[in-house]
Amino acid sequence: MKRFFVVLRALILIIIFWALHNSHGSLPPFGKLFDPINGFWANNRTLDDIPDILDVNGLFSPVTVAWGERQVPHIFAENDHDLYFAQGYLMARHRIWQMDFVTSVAAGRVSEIIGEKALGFDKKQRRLGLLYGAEQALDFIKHDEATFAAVQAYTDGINAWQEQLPSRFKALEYKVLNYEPEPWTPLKTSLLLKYMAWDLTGRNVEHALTAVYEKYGQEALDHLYPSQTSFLDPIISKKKKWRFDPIKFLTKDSEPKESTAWFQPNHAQPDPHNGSNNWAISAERTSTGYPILSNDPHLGLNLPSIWYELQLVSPTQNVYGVALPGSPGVIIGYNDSIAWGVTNGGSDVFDWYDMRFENPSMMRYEFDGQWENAKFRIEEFHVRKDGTHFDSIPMTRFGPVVYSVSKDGKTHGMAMRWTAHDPSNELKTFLDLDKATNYDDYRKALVGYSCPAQNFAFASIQGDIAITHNGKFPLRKPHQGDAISSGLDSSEAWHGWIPMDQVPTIKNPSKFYVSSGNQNPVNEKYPYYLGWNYASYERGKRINDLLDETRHANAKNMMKIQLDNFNLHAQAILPTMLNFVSDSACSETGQNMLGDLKNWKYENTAGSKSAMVFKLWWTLLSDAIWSDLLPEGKEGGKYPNQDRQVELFAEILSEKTSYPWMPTKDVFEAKVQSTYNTTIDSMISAYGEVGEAWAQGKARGTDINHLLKIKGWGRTNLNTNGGDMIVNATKKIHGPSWRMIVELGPEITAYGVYPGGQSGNPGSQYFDNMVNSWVEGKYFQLHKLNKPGDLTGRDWIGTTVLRNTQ
Amino acid sequence: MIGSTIIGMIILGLFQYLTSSWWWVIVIPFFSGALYREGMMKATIQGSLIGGIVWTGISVAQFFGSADIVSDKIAAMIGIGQPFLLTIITGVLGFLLGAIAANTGNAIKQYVFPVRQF
Repeated sequence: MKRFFVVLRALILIIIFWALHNSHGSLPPFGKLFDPINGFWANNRTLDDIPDILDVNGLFSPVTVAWGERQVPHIFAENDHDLYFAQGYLMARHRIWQMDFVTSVAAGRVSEIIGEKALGFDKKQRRLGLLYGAEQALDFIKHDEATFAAVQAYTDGINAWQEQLPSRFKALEYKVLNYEPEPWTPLKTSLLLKYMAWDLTGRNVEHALTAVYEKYGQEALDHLYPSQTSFLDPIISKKKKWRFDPIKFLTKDSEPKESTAWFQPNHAQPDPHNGSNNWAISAERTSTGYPILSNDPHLGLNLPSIWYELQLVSPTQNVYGVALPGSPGVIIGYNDSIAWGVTNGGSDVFDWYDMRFENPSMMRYEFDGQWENAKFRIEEFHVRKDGTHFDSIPMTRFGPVVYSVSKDGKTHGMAMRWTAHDPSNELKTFLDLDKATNYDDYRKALVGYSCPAQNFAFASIQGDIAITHNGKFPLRKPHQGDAISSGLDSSEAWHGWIPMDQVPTIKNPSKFYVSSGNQNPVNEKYPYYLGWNYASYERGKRINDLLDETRHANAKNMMKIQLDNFNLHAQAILPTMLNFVSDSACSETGQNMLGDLKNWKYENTAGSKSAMVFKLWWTLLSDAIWSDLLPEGKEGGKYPNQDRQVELFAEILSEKTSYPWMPTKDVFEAKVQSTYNTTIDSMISAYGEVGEAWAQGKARGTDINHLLKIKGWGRTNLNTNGGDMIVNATKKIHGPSWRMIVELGPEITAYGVYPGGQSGNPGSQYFDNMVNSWVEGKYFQLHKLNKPGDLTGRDWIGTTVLRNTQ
Repeated sequence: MIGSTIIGMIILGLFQYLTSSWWWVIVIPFFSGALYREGMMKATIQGSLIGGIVWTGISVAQFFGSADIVSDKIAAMIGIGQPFLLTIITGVLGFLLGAIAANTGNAIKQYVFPVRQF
């Protein structure tokens, strides 16, 4: 009996150890986590302390880092190797878990962290070819000595940090999820860039347009989804003359399409709101006598933030701006001579091809009347606690087969043609921009940039301004690739590429500014087809309206534009909607709210109830109009773009046309009334009777969640202005991820803010210290230094010297 | 007992710090229990004091030192209202682990090396 109790005790102890040492489902390993020396307690504010000296293995010369008040590092190195090494080292110090996790997501390796439940996601990521594309890109980058040297030095810097870090100080997320950091590799940097390419070009609604085509035919596609609307104010002036001979390419008629109703993509699509604003004003219209550049990229809002602010100084460059954690160099910023900013291009660089396979083995597919052999890419998944899994992906001449079906003796696969799968070196563009000194350097830097296509706004101290819709764009027939393409022959293959010297660009326009808000970059005079699914016109138009009025631009009035809350869409459609709402058909609350809507000045401020009601009403009306008429579910974006809907509603009311895919005027009017009533009922149901809870800032607000969506680690219910397709594009979980304004000149004055903080440590005071300023529309002055000692007073919090240990 | 408890606490803190492993809070009390000569109850109390005092003491120092923000985050994550409760949870965990480990160590010692009664 005594033996039994001894064994029992020992067993209980072992079980307790096992239970506390391991994670169980979503529960962290409590023994490790609560260890007061090595657990979460160690991820405290002392990690914010700035050391005077850091001994590092891998530097050629000492590197001096002056730390700005928000823990912004100003890195001074004697050569580029040490500069990128130090950038990697310091970024890892602040953001290593974020860098590691995001690249794991891109690589389809999340199941290594959280187990079998992520295997489906990982398999889809591999099929979408992010890892494949990253490998292709890295092989290409290796051929460019300077870029690869930067990536390698950056990698070495990250690993130097990781090797020095005592395990007790590893990032909190590793402790919660109970896994270990791994060494950084150049492939991870490449993966990060592919992750961004996916985020900015991966959204695809071809299946939805194909369904419309199959139901109503080509006329419906042309009518509902045109590439231009009457509202369009394109990025490149309508007056621009295209002085080049466009490439002519032969096109063949494609075969009639087979039904692709089986194809219902279920992978996670990037946020449809991804976009940005940028503009540059020439010296003639500024109060400083030099150009001013502004940029605010709109991305998903998370903590840690997507951006990391820093200054990089070496004999070849002195650049300030924001970088992507995981990549060397500055992505958006300015140096002594130029400033640049990017917005998403939105042109179509991703097509689905319906492939017919010989049999379910998918070894051969039909192309131009012949059977072609597919190659197979074997993907391996090391699933946590579940061993190794495999996936075999057929690779066609168009790209990887992401979805397939075998039915009635036929096997079809949906192959993905995406420019991000092609070898490319986007990083070189940014590293060259960091060092650029004039317009020619800017143009040279853009050559070779492939995906994601961006609108690169530019301003220089010489007085030039420019914008280029830059990327690798396929040559296509008009509207080719809007719907799913046939992979049976070459008729719908891409016919080559638009030459880089023929992409849309403009320099020093007569209106004295350039700008973009993700709208179509060109009008119909541009000789190539770029796509149709651009952002609705409102942001671009509003920015242009405000810049047209601006005569003495300075940073202050540029801030005002970035924070502008005017709802151009509401101005365009709300009066029409209100015309068809009758007081007598509304509840008392509805009647009262009508008065508010009629008096609304179209400002999407945090305190506005009308902004909230209008947004919901528009969404419900749009659903009510199109959900019965257009096939497939809402996800996938089957509805016409917002500005096109406004045009179509006017068309319905004019009763000049009649189409089976459009409602009659009577139906439209009835739906305006009924959706208004539903809007009011929904608001009451969600927020009670009309009161403060109806205000946009309360009812919608903004949530900046932690990347893992861990409760309490983000900043939620932020009382924000702005909204969808408004210049201040702040939304529920999406918005301006970095606001920057640069006044060029002999003494550059610049301002910036992002909704987060420099540190990725949730236990740091610098984790989210800029969020409140961002919500309030405040900016921080950006101090670009000439030497470390230039930072003084409250702006300076310390200096670190990185010394080589060998 | 006081002397050996203090020695156990120092060894536990030192080993945890040097090796970054949490399970010394089991191992050290286990051996303190196994080496203890004055009966199981006292051995268990000694183990619990070694684990409990070290874990409570350090977590309280961390909480009032620099771990205020991270405590807020962890408290929110596990759904407890007051971050200070984390120090209590940490202390209780150290106390229980120390007690169970010391008790087990002492029981095994008594089984393997039984005290002969004359």
